[in-house]
Amino acid sequence: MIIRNELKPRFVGERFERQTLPLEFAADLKALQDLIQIIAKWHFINDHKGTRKRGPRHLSSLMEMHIVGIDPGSAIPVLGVFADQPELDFDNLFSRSVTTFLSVVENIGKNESWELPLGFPQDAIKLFEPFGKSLYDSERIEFAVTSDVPIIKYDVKVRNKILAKVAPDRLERRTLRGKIVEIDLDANTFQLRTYDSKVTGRISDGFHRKLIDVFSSERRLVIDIEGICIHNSKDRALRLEKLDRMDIVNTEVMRDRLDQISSLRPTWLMGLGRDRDGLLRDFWDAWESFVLHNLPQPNLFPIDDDGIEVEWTAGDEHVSLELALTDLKGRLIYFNDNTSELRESPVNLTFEEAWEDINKAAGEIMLRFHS
Amino acid sequence: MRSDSLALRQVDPAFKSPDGSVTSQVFKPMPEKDQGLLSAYNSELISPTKAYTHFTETRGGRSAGVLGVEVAEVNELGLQVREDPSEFNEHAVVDMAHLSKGQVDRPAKAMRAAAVKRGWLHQP
Repeated sequence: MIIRNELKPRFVGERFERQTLPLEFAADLKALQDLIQIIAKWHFINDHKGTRKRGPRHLSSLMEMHIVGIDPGSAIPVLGVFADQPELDFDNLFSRSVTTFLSVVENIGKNESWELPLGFPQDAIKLFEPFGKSLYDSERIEFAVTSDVPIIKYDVKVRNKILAKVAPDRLERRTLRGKIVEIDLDANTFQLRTYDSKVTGRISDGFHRKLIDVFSSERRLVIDIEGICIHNSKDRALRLEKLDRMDIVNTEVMRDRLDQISSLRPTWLMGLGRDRDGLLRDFWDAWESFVLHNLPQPNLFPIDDDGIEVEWTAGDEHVSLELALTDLKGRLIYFNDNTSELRESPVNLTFEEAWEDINKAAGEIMLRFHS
Repeated sequence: MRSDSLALRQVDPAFKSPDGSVTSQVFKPMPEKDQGLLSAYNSELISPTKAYTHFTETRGGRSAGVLGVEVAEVNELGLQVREDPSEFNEHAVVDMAHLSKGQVDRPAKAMRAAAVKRGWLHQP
């Protein structure tokens, strides 16, 4: 078989200095191949308007790329295409597709305001998600078309720009709260457990040490992470693409308050209050496990009959959780100061669903207050 | 009591959070002690500051400050405030004896809202 065409993306960054390519980039290269193929099909159909509504049969297999070598100079995988139907004017189709792809990348990289070519296939746009996904912030892929044309660069910034534009409802800047439950240095990822999901995030440059410190701290620290996040249609965070800021959430205020309440002796409330030592530990364990969410820390109050009240307030609205510490059962109460509307429902914190109700109720008043 | 008089409530320090918020429990009678009658000071007979001093020094209670609800505000909730000099001369009660434990929530939270809107009448 004769290699009819070649594409030589140059991978630049510390990981490629040995002129090798980490295996995870196989998925990125596959996405690049698929991109070129879809663009080729688009060109082919445009070239045959009125006569062809579909691309040539087996176009994908005709344009299948193989890694045929790694050239020196950082890591330059040589992607060869074997084509055996010259009657398709294949060479021209391939080079035009590559040119279109590169002009899109160049346009996005150079301009804040940019547009895709008219009719550019949606399927191709989606492939910018896997293409470049394995890149670190400091890395890039360079394409040199010819020696007299400036190099075209594709990096995390370019990728985020196109993803933000083509899928604005899925990719946006968010702050997530949770605990780090896993770090995979080989894959350069971490897992953040938020109150409703586990989110995998890429470890951006400069955050390795901080994340490891937080992960290996004696107490599992709650952190706020801000970055570019991919969400599903239900607004659930799926993946953190870029980490820009990380803060340790100060739960000391709440723990201090619990200590205060815990230290109340039967002398409080004119001698009618009861000792809570021990009982609060069960509550705190449950709290730490399930209220890993984006809510502000609530106010805590003792209740005279072995209970605790947890209350969030947002403007005129309150969500209170009144619990018996002995069995973690109680009531969830909504109240509006202006309308005196009151709604209540029973809760049992030994069931995980109860926490969903609590987080939802408190989240709703916060959302209304801030919107 | 006049409709513009205040029922003055002492706030137990445990019922005030570090950020100054108070719980509506301030306005709930204690099941074991109060028999549905919420104790208060009658503002017609004593100022908030003197009520605080009386509560903490004469009666030996702990208070983070004094909040108050107007008699008219209490009446709007379907409750009555009346003088009750049986304990001491300035004593008054908000009568919630006819309410079940669950029924106390709404008036207690409404009184909290009114009192918080009025602000602290005395703080040590």
